[in-house]
This record gives sequence, C-alpha cells and structure tokens, in this order.
Amino acid sequence: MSDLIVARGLAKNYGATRALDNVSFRIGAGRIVGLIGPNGAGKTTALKALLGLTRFDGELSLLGLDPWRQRHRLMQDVCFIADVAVLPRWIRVRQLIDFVAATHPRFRREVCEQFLGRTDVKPASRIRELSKGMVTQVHLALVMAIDAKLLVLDEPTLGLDILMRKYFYETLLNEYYDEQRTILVTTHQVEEVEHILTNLLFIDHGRIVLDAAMEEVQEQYAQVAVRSEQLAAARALGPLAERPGLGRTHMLFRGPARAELERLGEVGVPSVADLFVAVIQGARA
Amino acid sequence: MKRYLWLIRREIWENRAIWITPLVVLGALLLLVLAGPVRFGPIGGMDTATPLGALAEDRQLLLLLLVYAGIALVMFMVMGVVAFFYALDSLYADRRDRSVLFWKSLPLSDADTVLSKFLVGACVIPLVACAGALLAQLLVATGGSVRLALAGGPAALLWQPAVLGGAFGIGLLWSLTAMLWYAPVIAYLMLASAWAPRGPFLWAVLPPVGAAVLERMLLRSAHVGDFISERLFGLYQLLGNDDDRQVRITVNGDQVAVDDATAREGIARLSELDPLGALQSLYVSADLWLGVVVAGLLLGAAIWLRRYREN
Repeated sequence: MSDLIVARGLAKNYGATRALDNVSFRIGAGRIVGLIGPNGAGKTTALKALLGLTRFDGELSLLGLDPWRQRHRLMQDVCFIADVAVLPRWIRVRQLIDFVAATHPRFRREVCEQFLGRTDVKPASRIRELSKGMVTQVHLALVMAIDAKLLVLDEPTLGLDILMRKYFYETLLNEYYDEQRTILVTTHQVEEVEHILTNLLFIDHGRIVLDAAMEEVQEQYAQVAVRSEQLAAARALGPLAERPGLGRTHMLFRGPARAELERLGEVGVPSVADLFVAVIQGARA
Repeated sequence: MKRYLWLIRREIWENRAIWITPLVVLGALLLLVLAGPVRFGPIGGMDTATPLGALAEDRQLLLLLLVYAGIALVMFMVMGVVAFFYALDSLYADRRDRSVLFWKSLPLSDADTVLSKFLVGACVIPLVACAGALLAQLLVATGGSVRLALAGGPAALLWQPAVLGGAFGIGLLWSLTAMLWYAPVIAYLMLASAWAPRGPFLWAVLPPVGAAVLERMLLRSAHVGDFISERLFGLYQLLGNDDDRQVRITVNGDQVAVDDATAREGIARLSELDPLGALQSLYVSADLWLGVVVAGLLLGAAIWLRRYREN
C-alpha cells in the first residue's frame, strides 16, 4: 500500500515550547487514523503542518507534495474541517454551495444537495441564522460532496450534542468513507471514534507515543478483569495500568500470552480510552 | 476568469455596502429633487440670480457641465469612503471570525484571493460609483426638467446631449483615472488589513499620521502630510480649486438661474477650467505611474502575508 502521508523528523517550536519534537509517521491510503493526545500535545500543530498552515522543520509529504510550498495544489485533493464554527457567518447556504461548486473541481453538487435535503437547513438561510448543529450539517454536506483523497477533521464535533456527534460519525463512515479515501481525525471524545478507526496515533508532549493499526493493538494489548484472589499474580506480570471495578480490578497488559491472562480473569479488548491513559502515563513515567 | 468572477461575486455578497450605498445616495438625491428647489452648489441664499438662458451658450454648457460633475463628485466621494473601509476589512474580517480557515480549505491560491479583493476595491467600486453618478445625473436632469416643464420653463435646458454626454464622459474618465491613482492607497490598506493582529484601522492610519505629526514637531516641515493629502485629494483638485469656482445654480420656479454673486467672480475663471488637460498632464506625470508600481509592491507584500502569516 502506498503511503499517503510521510512525516520524518517533524519539529516545531513556539518560543521555548516544543510543539512537535522529532515526529515521524506514515499513513497509508484508505486508513481512518485517530490522532489522539491530551491538550497541548501538538495535535493541532501537527494538523496545521499537514495542511500547510504552519512552517515546520523536517520532512513532510502529502500525496507527494510539500504542504508548505504547494498548499494550493494540495487543496484539490485534501479537504479539512478545522473547527465546525468557521463557516463565514454572513453567507447564505445557497451562495456557499454555488461558490464551492464554482471553485472546487472535485465538488459534486448533487451529493451536497441530497445530503442537505435530509436536514432542516433552508438554502436561503444565512449561516449566522443557523444553530450550531445545522452549521455542522452544512459543513459536513460540503465536505462529503468533495471527492478528496484525504479528509482532515480537527475536533469536528466540538460543541455538538450527543445525537449530532453520533450522526456525524455514522454519516462519515457509511456515506463518505471508502477504501480509496483516507481520514485523519483528532478528538477528545475517543469513545465515539474508536469503532471507526483503523489506526491509532497517540501524541504527547510533541512526540508520537503510539503508532499502531487497530489489529496490532488488539493483538498486543489485553484488558483483564482480574479476580481479587489473582491480584498478586496479575501484578507480578507487570500491568501497564489498573483501575478498580465492581468486584474486579481491570488491568491492561502488553505482552503476556493470552492463556496466561485467561487464568487471571476475563480477557477483553481494551478501550482506546483505557489504552490512551495507560500509554500516556507510561510515556510520562 | 470564471474563478475571478466568482471571487468578486463573493465580495459583493459579503460587502453589501458596495451596492446599497449608491442606492442610499440616489434616494437622498431623489428626496432633494422632490422637496425644495433643486439647487446645485454650496448651500446658501440666492440674493440675486441671472436666468441661465440669458447667458451665452458656451457659458451655459460649461456651467451645467460643472453642475453635473459636482453631482458625480458626491457619488465618487461617498464611494471613496466605501472603498477605504472595504480595503481595510478585506483581509482582516475572515481572520477575525476565523472563517479564513474555511476559505483556505478551498483550492484557491492566496494570490487569487488577494487580487480579487484588490480588483473589487480598486476597479469594481469605481465602476459602481460611475454608474451611480450617471443615474444621479439622470435623476437630477429628470427632476429638474419636470419641475421646469410644470412651471412652463425651458425643460430641455437640462437635457442637452453635449452636457449630459460630457458629464458622463468626465465621470467615466474620472473613475478610470481613480483606479490608477488610488491603487496604491487600496493596496496599502489591504496590506494593513493582512498585517493587523487586530484593529486594522489603527494599523493603517497611525503610521502615516504619526509620521506626519513627528515631522511637523521635529522638523517643522510638512512633506509627509502634503504627500498624503496630495494622494488622497489630489485627484479632486483636477476639477479646479473649489474656492475659485464656486457656482450656485438653482432650478426655481420656471427658470434655471445662476447666482450672480458667484457668477461674477466665478464664471470668468470657469473658462480657464480644463479637466481634460489636467487629466492629460496627470497621465504623463511620474506620480501616477510610480503609484501603480508601489501598488504592485504593496499587493505582493499583502499576498505574501496572507499566504505565510500563521495565526
């Protein structure tokens, strides 16, 4: 599989703060990657570098292009939602669609209109008259109608209610995603995206602390609901993290054979949130 | 080409002042025409007046031409203010509301964006002003002649083709010249707009005003101030120095009359007025073309800032 994004030794300082510290990763075509990190970890900086919105040191190539120097060319194949609130407030929905249709060679107007037809958004409304959820629907309709190779979403559901967030990701997965498209998403609401992701990229203090496909994660990590009588034996195996549960202690392991873990309690797949906490704490320790 | 038309269209969608302002000016003019005597020139009493028809024909033409040019001037000055604030906001408004990130997600180059905004500020607004001026002239001609006709006066006086045609010609030439003359001003304001972290008005106005004030305080000279006012108002002086050539013309009752007080002093000098000659000398002056070059440099800087500024 060809790599859509190749980053090598990416670095970026804001004054004395290292926002990105020697970051390297590759993202293959057709993946849905979650870029996940705590506040101030460098997520947004990394996305800005990818989108040619910020200068950086190191090597970075998207679709074979340098995002900083060839930004405008790159935007033909890359689509991004930086934040749902950024649609111009003065424009009418119809004008917005007309404008994008006239200026974006890969925009399919009928897809956009079909999508909007299922919402309550009126084409004559100005963006400032719409609720936040409706603005997101408009933005989503625009983005879904663009036949892009890479879609970058930075906290796309920030400020939306649960129904809208669920709807957003369902639509993304069912109607937009196919094997040709790559999606890179950052979010704090990990539990909402974990079932759609194919790859995880954890970032903390400007460094990549985990870079793995979901299958690898499921092979390598295991969550065990340890029975209390097995507690000492379990701890001897060196869990990455543990947290108390109802009559069980949940421990996250990396390494020990499955048969060995099954003797301690029920073995399951760790949630991305648990994995995230364990990996970040491990990296900081 | 098609892309530019859409970019320009977007600007007109966003900045409705571009077409609402001339309509407001026309509306105000219509009220004036409908209300009192139609009076052109400075507001003031008419102590003594001579019917325009009593003057020699070339004087009539010249006076009426001046009146129509004055009407156009109002439109141009108002649209100049519109262009000023348009340019000042052009590269700042979308950074303030962060929609710049949306625009930057479209495959449009920053050069296209900046140039389209410059075209609106430097060309579209002057053309709208020109069209508005023509409408204003027609409005006054219609209103004035209707009033004259109702009073049994010489209604055709205001409709002489040489006058209306001449007035429109001057308006068109004026707006074409304004495009070149004000190009560096528009480009400068756009640069300030692209640069300002906030408050582009202060960023644009403080440096030149500060320089002028400093110069006056330290060197007791006024080169900077002169330079700025020459660039901002120099074009208007082509129509002649106001103080010398104030003319008051009124459509009142059944006649078009010219105020004697101004006529006595003014009309003699009117024949000296030569807008075409003044324009001609402007076009061969270095000032105009140096300004165009400077506009190009400032625009280049604005494009660079728009492209590479991080925020």
